[in-house]
Amino acid sequence: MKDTELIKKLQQVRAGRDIRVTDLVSIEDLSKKEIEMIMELAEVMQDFLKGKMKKVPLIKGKTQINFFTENSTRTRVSFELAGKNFSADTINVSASSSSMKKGETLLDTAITLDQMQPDVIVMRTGDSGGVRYFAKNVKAAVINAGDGWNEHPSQALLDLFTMRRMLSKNLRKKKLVIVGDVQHSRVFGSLVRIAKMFGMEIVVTAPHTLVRPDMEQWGVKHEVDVEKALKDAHVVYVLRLQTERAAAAFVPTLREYSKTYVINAARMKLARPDAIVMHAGPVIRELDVHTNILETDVSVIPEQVFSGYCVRAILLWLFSEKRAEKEVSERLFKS
Amino acid sequence: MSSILIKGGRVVDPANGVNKMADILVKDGKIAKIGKGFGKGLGDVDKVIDAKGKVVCPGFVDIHVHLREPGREDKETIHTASRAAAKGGITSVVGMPNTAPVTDSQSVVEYVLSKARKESLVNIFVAGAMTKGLEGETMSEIWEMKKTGAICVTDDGTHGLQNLDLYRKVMQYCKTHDMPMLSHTEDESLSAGGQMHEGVVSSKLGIAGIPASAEDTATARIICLVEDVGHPMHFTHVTTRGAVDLIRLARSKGLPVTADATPHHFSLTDEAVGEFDTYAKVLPPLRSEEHRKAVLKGLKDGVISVIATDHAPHLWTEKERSFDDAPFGIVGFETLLPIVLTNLVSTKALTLSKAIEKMTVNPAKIMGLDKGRLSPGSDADICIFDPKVEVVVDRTKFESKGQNSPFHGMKLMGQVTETIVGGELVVEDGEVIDLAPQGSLSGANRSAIGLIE
Repeated sequence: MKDTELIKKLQQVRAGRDIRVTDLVSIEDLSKKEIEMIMELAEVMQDFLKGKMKKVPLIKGKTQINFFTENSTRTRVSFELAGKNFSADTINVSASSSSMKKGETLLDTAITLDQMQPDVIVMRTGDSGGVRYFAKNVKAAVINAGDGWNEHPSQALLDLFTMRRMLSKNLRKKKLVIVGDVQHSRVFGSLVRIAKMFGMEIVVTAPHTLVRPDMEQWGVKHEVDVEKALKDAHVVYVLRLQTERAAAAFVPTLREYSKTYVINAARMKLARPDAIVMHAGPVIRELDVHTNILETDVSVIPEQVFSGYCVRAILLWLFSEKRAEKEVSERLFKS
Repeated sequence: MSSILIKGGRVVDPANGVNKMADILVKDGKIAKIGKGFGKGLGDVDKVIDAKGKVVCPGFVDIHVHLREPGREDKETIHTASRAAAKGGITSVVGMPNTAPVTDSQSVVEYVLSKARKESLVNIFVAGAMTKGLEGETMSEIWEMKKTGAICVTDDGTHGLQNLDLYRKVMQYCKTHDMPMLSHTEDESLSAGGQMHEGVVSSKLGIAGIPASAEDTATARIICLVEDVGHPMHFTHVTTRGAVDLIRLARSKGLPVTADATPHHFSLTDEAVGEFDTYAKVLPPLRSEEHRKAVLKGLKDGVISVIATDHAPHLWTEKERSFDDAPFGIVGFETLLPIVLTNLVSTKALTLSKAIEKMTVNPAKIMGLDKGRLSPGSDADICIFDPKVEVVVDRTKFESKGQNSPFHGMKLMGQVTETIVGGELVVEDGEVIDLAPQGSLSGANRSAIGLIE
């Protein structure tokens, strides 16, 4: 596909539509219609990003800052590459290499980065709510690349994209079983919201130590027995045990955890024969998902990564147009 | 497997609401038949026990015992503990995890169960440790232990798990895997250094006290966790008025909490310490009279639904020390029934049936054991005792290796005459039959036991 063709195709599919918000912090910032538009546009990207020539001047002249204060492979690489493919100027800032290390506050970092007139800031932080606060204080459009245990909306979009591609366009009543460390997972936060939006049936399976309080009240069923939970599952979504968030203290040992909750071939026999296994990565083999699943087509984990590349490219395009229209409310300080 | 006919006894089986004269036929390890007078015409049985004038009830289920094996075979072995239990009419025991190594893994659980299969005269069940090494720092592999056969987890054998965040997680984890829990309930910051109940006796003796509030406060906080997590808790060896009241309140709110009391705590007070008697040194300590009365009240009104011994054998030399230096613990198997009959039934605090209920079906239910009943088809674990005979406790005559009983020399009512475990007679005429019922106590095993003993 030629670059001009891609731009034409994208414009055609977009058909003058836009998204109302100027930042993407929660998946609920988007309407179902907006999400569907993103899905349609991401589909166009698939062939192009697998083609020989991956550069297109779609957002040439725009500036993109990837501000990550936590580690990342998939998210940062896909955002950065997609920005470069679309000809934006992308730079990376990490907490350890920024002045935050010297004691600069998040607010001052926001004020400072925003003076570089960036169009998009892709941000990850260990603090739930950190991205919302940051977004309120910059003119740049902010895309949440994960904040604490709260949300990771671009992950939810790529997961939806993957499920639509690998399973069915219509996900209504499809059974989504989420396995593992629900409590500490921002992936869970966005996944549950988008799955509900698209009418999926959601069951969480994890020990009581790793679930969130009162989940039933937001429409999530909890079944402690993984084998019961897997019955008739269409999608088995595995969440990594977040040992960096001390999740190991929530189970006796990783060995016992893997015995009780690992997703392996024997357990997948309990799900639907056409069920798929998903994981936001990084996968810890034999602890989260067994190699006897990872090395088969049942696992769509690599497809998820490519979906992320396509979806994030679209997000950059849509949000890089927002700086001019975004309004930053005045900070109220009584001097 | 043989058949045994128990003739002419008064059968007391609270689980089935039975309290009547009846015969019982035991066959192939199970209760085959219960009924009035059918035994007369029955010809073909291997053994007939004349139970005239005696009470026939389910074998007792003691959910709090220290077997000491592995690790402290000098204090007690599974074999000697089982002999002592059998002699006391106890047919099922739950061993606490403060062994060496601590029972905190599938290997140790399996070790105890395999030793029990070879050498025990009674049914041995295992309580796993809530935390690794009972150290209160990381959760044990509770699922693996359950898979191997552990029936509950506990923090007993320590001053109790103090870290409430970890306690909550253990509870949530037990809820996940449907594992019963048993709490040793003590606030260590209040009890630290204490050697006996804090009161007038400790005051006179100049011994560091353990205040009742150490148990009260710990009980309160665990009840809060039960309400939070929604998983049942059994409070073992309850000793204070405050704890009994708190458990009563929790039960009235419908919370799934249960409790047991030991014979020494409902029978004795801190006065038993007298002149520094180390045989009366136990944890939780013997309390003052007001607390003993509160425990009695709890037993009467059902707040305390179980009697358990906390059988804790120690070496003779360990108790023959100064008070501060002696270990906590009292042996309980061989005095259980006479103390219950003398101090609860004779005094009309409990009916015989209620007392037996607290030693059979109630503890079995809490631990999820299909024991403690004389229904046709159930395991033939039976205790036959003479309620009228007077005995004088002689600690030099115990089957247990431990002699540490403060009841020595006391005149008590009642004696176990026969004990049947899984359809096999293991105690006859008040004496342990010198054969392992499972018949697997081979020469090699026997000599190994001999060497240790």
